[in-house]
Amino acid sequence: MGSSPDQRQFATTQWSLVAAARQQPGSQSKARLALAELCRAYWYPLYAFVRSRGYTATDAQDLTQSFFVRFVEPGSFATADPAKGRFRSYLLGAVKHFLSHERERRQAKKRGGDVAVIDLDALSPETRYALEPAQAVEPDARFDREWAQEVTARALRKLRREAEALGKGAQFNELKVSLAGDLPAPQETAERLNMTPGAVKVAVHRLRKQYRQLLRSEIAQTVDDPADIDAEMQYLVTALLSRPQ
Amino acid sequence: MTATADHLCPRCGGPLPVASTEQLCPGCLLLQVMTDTEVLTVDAADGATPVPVASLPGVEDLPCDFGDYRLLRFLGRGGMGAAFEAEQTSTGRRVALKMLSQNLESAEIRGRFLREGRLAAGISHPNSLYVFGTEEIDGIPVITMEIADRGTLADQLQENGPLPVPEAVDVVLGLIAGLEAAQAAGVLHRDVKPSNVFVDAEGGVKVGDYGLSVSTVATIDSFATATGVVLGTPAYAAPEQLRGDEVDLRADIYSVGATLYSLLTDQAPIAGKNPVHIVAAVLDEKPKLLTELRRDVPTGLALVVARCLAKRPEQRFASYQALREALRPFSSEVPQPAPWSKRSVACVMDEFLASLVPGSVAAAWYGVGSIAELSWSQGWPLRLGLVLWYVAYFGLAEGRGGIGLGKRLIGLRVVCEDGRPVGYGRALLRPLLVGVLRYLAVLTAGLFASLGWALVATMGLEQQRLLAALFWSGSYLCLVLAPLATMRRRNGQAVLWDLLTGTRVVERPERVERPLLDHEQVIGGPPETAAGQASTLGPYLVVQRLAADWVCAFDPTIRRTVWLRKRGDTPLAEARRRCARPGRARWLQEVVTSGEVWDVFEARPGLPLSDVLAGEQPPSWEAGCHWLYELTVEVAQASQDGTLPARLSFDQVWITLNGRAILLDDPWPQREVPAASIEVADQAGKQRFLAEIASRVGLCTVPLHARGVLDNLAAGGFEKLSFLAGCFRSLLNQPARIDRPLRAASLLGIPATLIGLMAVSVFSEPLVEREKTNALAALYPQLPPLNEVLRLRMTLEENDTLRAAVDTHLVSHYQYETFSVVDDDGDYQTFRLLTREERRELKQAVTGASAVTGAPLQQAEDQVADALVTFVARQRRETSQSRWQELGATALGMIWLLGLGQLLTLALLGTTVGQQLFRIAVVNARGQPAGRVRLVFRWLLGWGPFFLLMGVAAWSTDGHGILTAVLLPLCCGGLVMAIVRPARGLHDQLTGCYLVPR
Repeated sequence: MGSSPDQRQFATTQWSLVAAARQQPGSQSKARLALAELCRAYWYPLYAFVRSRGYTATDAQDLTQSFFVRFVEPGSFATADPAKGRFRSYLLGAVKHFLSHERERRQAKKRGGDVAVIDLDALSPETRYALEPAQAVEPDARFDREWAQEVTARALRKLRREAEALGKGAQFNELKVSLAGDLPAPQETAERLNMTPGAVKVAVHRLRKQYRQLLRSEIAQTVDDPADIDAEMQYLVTALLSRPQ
Repeated sequence: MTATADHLCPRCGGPLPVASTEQLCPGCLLLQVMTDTEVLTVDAADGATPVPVASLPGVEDLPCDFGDYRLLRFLGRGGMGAAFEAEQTSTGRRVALKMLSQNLESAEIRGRFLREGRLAAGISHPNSLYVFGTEEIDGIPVITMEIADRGTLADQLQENGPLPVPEAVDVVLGLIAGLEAAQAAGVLHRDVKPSNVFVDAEGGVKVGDYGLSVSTVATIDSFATATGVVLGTPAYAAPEQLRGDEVDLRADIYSVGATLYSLLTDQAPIAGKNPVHIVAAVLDEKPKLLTELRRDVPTGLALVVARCLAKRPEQRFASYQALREALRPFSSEVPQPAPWSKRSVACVMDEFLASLVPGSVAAAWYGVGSIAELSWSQGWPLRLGLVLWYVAYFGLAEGRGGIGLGKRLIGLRVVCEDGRPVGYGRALLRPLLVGVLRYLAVLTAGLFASLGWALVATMGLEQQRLLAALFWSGSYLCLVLAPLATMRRRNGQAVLWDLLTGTRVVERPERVERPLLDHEQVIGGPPETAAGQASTLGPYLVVQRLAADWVCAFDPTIRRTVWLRKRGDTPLAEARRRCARPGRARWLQEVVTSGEVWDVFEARPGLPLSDVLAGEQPPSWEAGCHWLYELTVEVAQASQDGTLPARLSFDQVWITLNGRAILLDDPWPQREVPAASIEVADQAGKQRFLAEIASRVGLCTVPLHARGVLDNLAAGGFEKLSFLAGCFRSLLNQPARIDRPLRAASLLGIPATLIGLMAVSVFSEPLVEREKTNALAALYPQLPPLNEVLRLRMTLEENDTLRAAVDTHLVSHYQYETFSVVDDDGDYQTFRLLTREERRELKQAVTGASAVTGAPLQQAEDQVADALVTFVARQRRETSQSRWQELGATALGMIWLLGLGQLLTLALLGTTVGQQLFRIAVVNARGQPAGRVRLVFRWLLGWGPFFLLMGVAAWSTDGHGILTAVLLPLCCGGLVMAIVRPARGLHDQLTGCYLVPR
């Protein structure tokens, strides 16, 4: 798989940018932005984690914002060592550390409380949090689970955008169930989409392939070594399927 | 708060988010990506459209022609392809043909598919589906393999429901044998489940479908599945395999356990609505115990299965050997009752550990010679502790594995009447019963003893004691041996407590491990020639031309060595082509090149028997026993289906690297002088051939118990070869050689036991003495302890004034006669506390002197008291030094006695107690029991240095340093050598003796 598209992307994954920055102080600002970008992408699992640790909605919003501010600040990610793990576990460790230092939290608020890294109001996190099925799970497990959902959802959003750009939004809507393992009835679907059943089969295949590529590149952003993608995927499945205690 | 069912995905059971994933379940999305084999190789196949599956033969087209095969029946679909029953048109052979049906364009998938064939082709075992070869037909890679006529275990389960317990265990034992062979070939199966275990026409099981297997040897193959499907079949896969962690054979052991579980219950240990559900459950749900699902499953078996299914690999069985040992008691194998000789030896050992040693140690701790000396009120906690230890020793050891230490050494085990393991309940009941019976015996013997005492009431005390002791020991022995009276052949040699608890003591079969061929020049390994330089014959690379009509070649596709035989005028018989027995090289196919027809046979790395026999050492019985068994079975079966060659020679027996014997159709060609052949058309000829091989096995390694069979074989005395095969089969289950632990036990066991007991008594003596002193001081509070005074008197000369003072002291305070009166409590106790010598001393003292009072007595007492202080102090100093010397001297004396005893029994009986106990026999080079003269000579060499050393130490006081320096290393060296080379120590070598199992 020497020249696969996946691998070309691996070379500049956000997380490996952070790794590079540790060795070359000159590229720090680039890496910082990369890190912040990653955080922005995965704000919801973080928010849910902070919430499930017992903070009120207002506090959780404050804390999440403050936490992100820390990542935009120069020198803040000096402890981020991609060689030691994946971005997901790094982020979880960092937010735990952050929450456990109440004083630091207050300082952070002072320093950057006014900076809205993420437009949380627009995203109305609390609406989403309240809608999520309430589960008596450990905050860590909840974080992993939310993370897994976020990863799959991001890939799915990209896939939809790509399909819509090509004017295949309707086709995407019909065939998306195949991504979760269901097979749309070929005959009926073909009729609805005005295609032959054979073409439907090929389209399903393409869609699955595209989604696989997108999902893998999404995960690739958060791991240092492309060889870890499968392991991370396996981890996320396990996280999703382990039962609430 | 818990998630409600509405929020869980009906497919995978994972949580459903409300927003963000387009109403699709993220768990399913991820899983679909991970398990979708169609898009797995998306990178390699980038841009290519999927190959329409219609180009492959479908079920509806059957029967149809496909290359050289005619596909007859659709067998099933696996992870990568479909399997058909097919007939090879050119050979008429029925095979199972597996073809890759997906992602034909992907080099990676093709490679992985062919790798399955290659891995499986390395395994040749009766319990593993044999792979004939791999080829490409119309661009589709196919693997052809042995067909199992009766489908898979899953089919059988569907047809007949759960199996009876012994049958299911038998099936799994076969499965384990197959997997063990795979492991030996360096292959982990990773997808063991009922639908991957096939059943052949005879009902034997064969492991198949190595589709997910990996080589345990680190090669590039190990990473083949790194980006692929890691799930196996979730219900049967170990948790660590599902997690994608590194797996070893314990993952296969998990799957074996899961397979046994479903054979017994018709359901997988972890059930679920869909694969995803199952994955989640396997990771954190404990399967129900088998006993909850099926009543007739013994608890022990349920625990064995539960241990296989442990979530953490380190909690499972670590090897197939261990698992087999644990399962065997539940199989249909009937255990043999233990002969009383072995039982009594094991009993002696176990009693030693369970009662004698703790009893002596505890008695020493309390300061008495034996616990019997303690009164009830004094000794009850100790007695209770000893009884508990006794029951626990047997109960726990036998309840857990059916064996205590003694039984383990002798090779016995306790089982239930029906051959199943005893639980803790019965195992605890047995020693309790033994204890109760023994206590009853003690009570009854006590009664008899008082009877004896009463009978001779008029005689002296000594006679009374003697008779009472005789009565006691006689009746005790009778009562202890009485429970053995129930032992009968028909009740499995059950003693009373066996009958009462429904248990039996049986022999633990000792499977003789097959020794590997120890030879450097093994023929038939992978070729050293580079592929490009070798000449080819059909698809094969020629490795060596053994003869004009015999070529050793290599199959580069599946990396297997084969033999090609040029066909003469007569075609190969149909029966020979079909022959799929382990004792015969399999026929694989025929190759036609430039007008010549070649038959291709599987080749196994090894050596012809004639080369093995030509080695320096003749092969040992350990190896030979397996060969004889395998050849007997093969000759018997080959004569039935007409595939037996007319004549056989040693050049026609091939010994594989794994130590298995195979019969070749023709003599191995590369020999200057061909071995003589024997006509084997009739029964006598066959036996002559086998007897000839038996006679070439190192006779001095043949155990005594095997000689009868070999003699009978040499005389041609077996009516049928199947009888002979049965005899060899049972010999395989008996010890084949003397190993180091046994030899060490036989050499050191008896002396160590005796010395240990002696050490207990020597070191407990001061404790006993101290207790005695205390007791006497309590009885006579005003006086110095009587025993010390008496011991002091023993050291004094006849006409010593101190002695006169002692006598005066004694006669004034003690009246010897009163001690004889039995019914006087206090004095009787005094008497009992004194040893025989002390009593004699006391008697002497009181009869020789006369009692005084007043000042003379006071003077005498002062004298005694003064002398005692110095005497006791001196004695304490001396005894602590001499204790070790005493022990050393006694030990030496005892070894000396043992040696003499051995000489005596050797001269009289031709054997020793140790040899009898540990079932060892001394034989000469011809394998016959060694004669008395040789035995005595052997004894002289073995014991000579020791006795010389003793002699030197006893008779000369100086100048023996050099002699000792020579003799001592000789003694120790001889002993070490005897243990290091258990079958032939130094003295055995010098006298031409060998040790074999009796």
